[in-house]
Amino acid sequence: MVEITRRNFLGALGVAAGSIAVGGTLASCSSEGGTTAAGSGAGASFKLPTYKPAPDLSVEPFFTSDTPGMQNVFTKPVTSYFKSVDRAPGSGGTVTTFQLTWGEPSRKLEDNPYWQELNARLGVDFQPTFVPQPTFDQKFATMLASGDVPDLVFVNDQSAVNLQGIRDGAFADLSEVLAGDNILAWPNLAARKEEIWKASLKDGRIYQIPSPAWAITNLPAMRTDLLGETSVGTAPKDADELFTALKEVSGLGKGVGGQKVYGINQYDPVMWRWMFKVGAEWQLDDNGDLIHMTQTPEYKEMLSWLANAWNEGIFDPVAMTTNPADIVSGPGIQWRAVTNTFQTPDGLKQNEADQPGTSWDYFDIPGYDGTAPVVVRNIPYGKSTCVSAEAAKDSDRLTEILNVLDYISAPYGSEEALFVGSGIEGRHYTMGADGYPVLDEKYLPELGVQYVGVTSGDNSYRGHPNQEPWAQSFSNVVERLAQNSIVRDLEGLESSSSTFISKGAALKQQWDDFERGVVAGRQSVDELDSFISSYMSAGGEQVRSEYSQALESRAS
Amino acid sequence: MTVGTTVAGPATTTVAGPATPPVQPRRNVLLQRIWRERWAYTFIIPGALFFLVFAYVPMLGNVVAFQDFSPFRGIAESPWVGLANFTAIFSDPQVLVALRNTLLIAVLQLIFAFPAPIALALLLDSLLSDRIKRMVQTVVYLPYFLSWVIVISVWQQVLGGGGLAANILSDLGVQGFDAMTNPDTFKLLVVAQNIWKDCGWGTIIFFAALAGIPRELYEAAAMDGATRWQRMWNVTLPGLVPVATLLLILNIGSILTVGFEQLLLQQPMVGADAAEVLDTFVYFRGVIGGEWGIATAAGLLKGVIGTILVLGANRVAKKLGGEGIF
Amino acid sequence: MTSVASDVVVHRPTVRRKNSDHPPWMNPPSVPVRALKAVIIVLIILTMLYPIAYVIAMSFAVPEQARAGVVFPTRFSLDAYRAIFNGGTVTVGLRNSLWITVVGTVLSLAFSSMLAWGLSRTREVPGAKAVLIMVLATMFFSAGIIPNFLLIKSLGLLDSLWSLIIPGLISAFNMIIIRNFFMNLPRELMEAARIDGAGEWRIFLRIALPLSKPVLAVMGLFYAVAYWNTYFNALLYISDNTKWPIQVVLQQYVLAGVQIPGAMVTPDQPPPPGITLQMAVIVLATVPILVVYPFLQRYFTSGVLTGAIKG
Repeated sequence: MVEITRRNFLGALGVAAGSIAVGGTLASCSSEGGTTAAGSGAGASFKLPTYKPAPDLSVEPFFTSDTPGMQNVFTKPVTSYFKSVDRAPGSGGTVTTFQLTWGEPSRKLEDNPYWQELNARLGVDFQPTFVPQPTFDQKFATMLASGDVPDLVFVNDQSAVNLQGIRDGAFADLSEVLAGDNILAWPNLAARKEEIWKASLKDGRIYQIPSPAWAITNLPAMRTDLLGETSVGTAPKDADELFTALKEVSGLGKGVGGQKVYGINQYDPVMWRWMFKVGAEWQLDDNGDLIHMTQTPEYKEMLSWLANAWNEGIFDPVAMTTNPADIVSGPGIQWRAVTNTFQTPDGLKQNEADQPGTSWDYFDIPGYDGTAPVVVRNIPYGKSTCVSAEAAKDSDRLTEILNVLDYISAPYGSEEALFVGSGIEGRHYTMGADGYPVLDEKYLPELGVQYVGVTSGDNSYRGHPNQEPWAQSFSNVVERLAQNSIVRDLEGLESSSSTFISKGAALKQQWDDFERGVVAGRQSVDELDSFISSYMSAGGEQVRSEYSQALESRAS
Repeated sequence: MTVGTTVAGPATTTVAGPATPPVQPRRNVLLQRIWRERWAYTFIIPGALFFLVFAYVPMLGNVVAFQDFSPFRGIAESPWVGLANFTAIFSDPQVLVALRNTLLIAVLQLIFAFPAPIALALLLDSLLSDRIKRMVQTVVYLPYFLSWVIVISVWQQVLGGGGLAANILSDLGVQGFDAMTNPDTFKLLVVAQNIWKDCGWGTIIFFAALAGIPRELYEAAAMDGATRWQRMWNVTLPGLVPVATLLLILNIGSILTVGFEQLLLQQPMVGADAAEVLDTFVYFRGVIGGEWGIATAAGLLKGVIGTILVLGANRVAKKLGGEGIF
Repeated sequence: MTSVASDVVVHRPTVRRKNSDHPPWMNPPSVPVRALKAVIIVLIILTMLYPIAYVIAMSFAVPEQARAGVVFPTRFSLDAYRAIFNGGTVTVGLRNSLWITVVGTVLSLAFSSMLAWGLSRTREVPGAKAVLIMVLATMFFSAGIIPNFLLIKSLGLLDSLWSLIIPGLISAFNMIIIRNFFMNLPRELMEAARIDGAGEWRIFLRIALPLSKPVLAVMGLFYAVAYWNTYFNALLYISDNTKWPIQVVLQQYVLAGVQIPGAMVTPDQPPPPGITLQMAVIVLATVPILVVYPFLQRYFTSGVLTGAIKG
């Protein structure tokens, strides 16, 4: 029975899936006080884990907002740190992990005071398996195949291989262990909202402990020195004005330091999708039918506009590249990630320092018709961690493993998070005058053993003090994006289409290829209809029907 | 086996009538031959064992081509699906595009990229100054060590729409030069990039072959009054033929494998219609989608085709009087 | 008959092309031909050197210029190299790679040339042809990463540097090339030695190997480069990161710029890694080959076999 249940949420590939009643296998969405009748095939229902917020931060936010999709904005670090857990997490056992690793290799335990201190504070022998990102999926597959699943495993549930592991029972079903107030035994794990749990359920059950994530992770920034020179200025009101402005930027030819400039120097579809209000990839139309984004009239309009823009030289000829190193021109408007623009010491500040004479600001996207854009929010959770099913059989071990996870996922502003992230004061960091820990590069490699698979608690936009001059404009732009944001109709159902999991990459490639082809002039907008029909027959239609079914069963 | 029959022949025909098969004496001859060559096996057995253990044992895992395989279940518990993975490959319209592009690129490679290192090796060999020869050798093999990401970046800077060549041309009044995003000429671009990157490295093996040509041959040819050109044609080139034939045969066998990373990186710029090849197809369809069965089935198909091509090429080479591989 | 063998080894070509007086038969070509050659060579060198110069220059570029996206940097710093050598883990990686490369290349050459020799007389040795075909097939059929991993695991080689040597001990391609050279050695020599009663091992060690120095040098280089560039297998088989070879260690610096876990789950592109770091990594990874190559080059000079045939 359990086997069948697992099949349902990913769908068995053709094997008798149709004969099994699908109804009720997915978390019901009725938000009655957070009780999810998560009636899976196993028949168990459980209460979603209780949300208990982390302690308030000891610093005033720069900007607060209750708008869904928006977070508070900070420009100053906390001044004092709270203690998030009171116990020694472990009792002398061994905890193994499978963790993403970056930067240079960490030093051996014998030569690594950070690791030794981590062991001491955790009360366990912490044994990481380091997995560099380029081969994460391959190594994940070999780990599953060998049957040796480490206790704590970093999981990317957008990847087919990772999902196969969850489906096949490599990881523990934590639904009961964490249900309702049970989770309060792990205060840091409890510091995440129900929507996060709900969105990350698999087949209505908890297999992964998710981290909170921003609804809006990217926004555009502009060169005000370039846009300011155009007849439109820095605040175009609609698609036509933006077109004029960007075309004039490209017309400038060269900017500061003789660098070539273009309206746009790298193609990224998201900003245009927001501007043209095309909505989410799969969306319900006015009749309540599920359709693909490409089937909306707005999408066609967007393509024509972009193709025209390309034709008029608004884009750098290399704009279609996926390798940022290919691009050496300056942009009028550039698509940026919050993490490397607002949260770092570099960001816009560094852009201006690198090229004196340029000035940067965030750009408020207009709707193409002069109204507001439509922003599609990201799924509310990010990186996740699973617990080995084998290890979880022993409830004492499971408790110890969850204790350890509770400790290393401590929220921002806690002593534990400070230690996990920055190490030992005096060796790995010193506290800077601005309240930021300054890491000592010499000992940085020692921190390589830290586990970053889950975070908890505060999820604000925490700008670096260097970004303070832009904090107001950042807050305004993101707030306006959030005010015009929508939740995707399929939220929480992403993994309910087995076809999407197996063929999603191939479909996306096909779509991407067509879109870029039209924009760059290889193909014509007139081919949109024939593209849609070939996309649908290549698997799109199957995806659509699987999602429709999932939506129906959620509604009932 | 030809030797075997000629040796065994006389021994069997004398006594035995047509009814009695000549099994017994033959086996003896074979055993004799094995015994006579017993020392040869001390060379062969370690290597054969190596390939058995490290190539053939893991190759048994290729049975997942007939499964809906998933790693945690393993081969034992994954369901068998017959030929479903193979039909999935052939029923995908994209696979035809991929096959067409793969073959086109491979043929262009054989025509242009294959002879390039031979030509370069001959050119370098004809240089009289050893110092210059060594210096040039050292320079030409360097690009081999650059990753494709870098190679494409650099090409972009020189031949791309905003690159060096485009700038010079636009100063001369020719607008819109962009060799990097033109799908019509993309396959030639791919071959050019390959030649640029690997040609120098490829010469190394021909240098070794050149080193094996006895100098007496040149001297004798010179005595007979052969010109430089004639010496190259009649002495140097024949000296390279064995290696060149061998490499050609092996290259033909891997005709379905064309630069995966190179094409994957450039696909967004020229479109899948021009840049989709079998390996990128398998990557999107099988690897990212976690469809192990499909990826493995594709690998098996490539192996079968490669083997057939090599056997064919080997036969042709022998027919033409060359040596072939075996 | 051993005299023949030692003759071959000792009888080196008389090198007399040190200065400009060429042997009488090597008369220089006509002026236009020489000019044409010179032009071609200069063009080749320029097209090959430009990117190398670019990579080296970018690896020393000041971060501002690299980030701002210049075509060719004009101001330089050692930041990238400092960042890489700062942690001290690069030396560990270098040590691992050096060990793998030296041990691996020696073993690979030994086993490949042995097998090549054993398979060089498919007509005479029963079964040799079958083995040859079996080896050849491995070039076209390969196993997936999972079966390979399980094999390495069951042999207890996980987290051992041997896991980076043993599975690639003999490359079918390289072995077949060596065999091809063996087969083109002057047959008379071997036959004469055989008639004289020399054993297979003696012929192999005293005649075949010394005569095949050029191809062994090339194959040694091929193997060494392959071992030096070991990356993917190391990621799969070695979890203890103090045993990582240099390429893995270096690549980690390229990744260091990647926005870590969040980037994996959001659809957006990770931010660009530091391009100067990328370039410095390439330079560091290539330099050792640059150093080794000139030592091998002398084996590629023409004429090694002079005198051998008549011997």
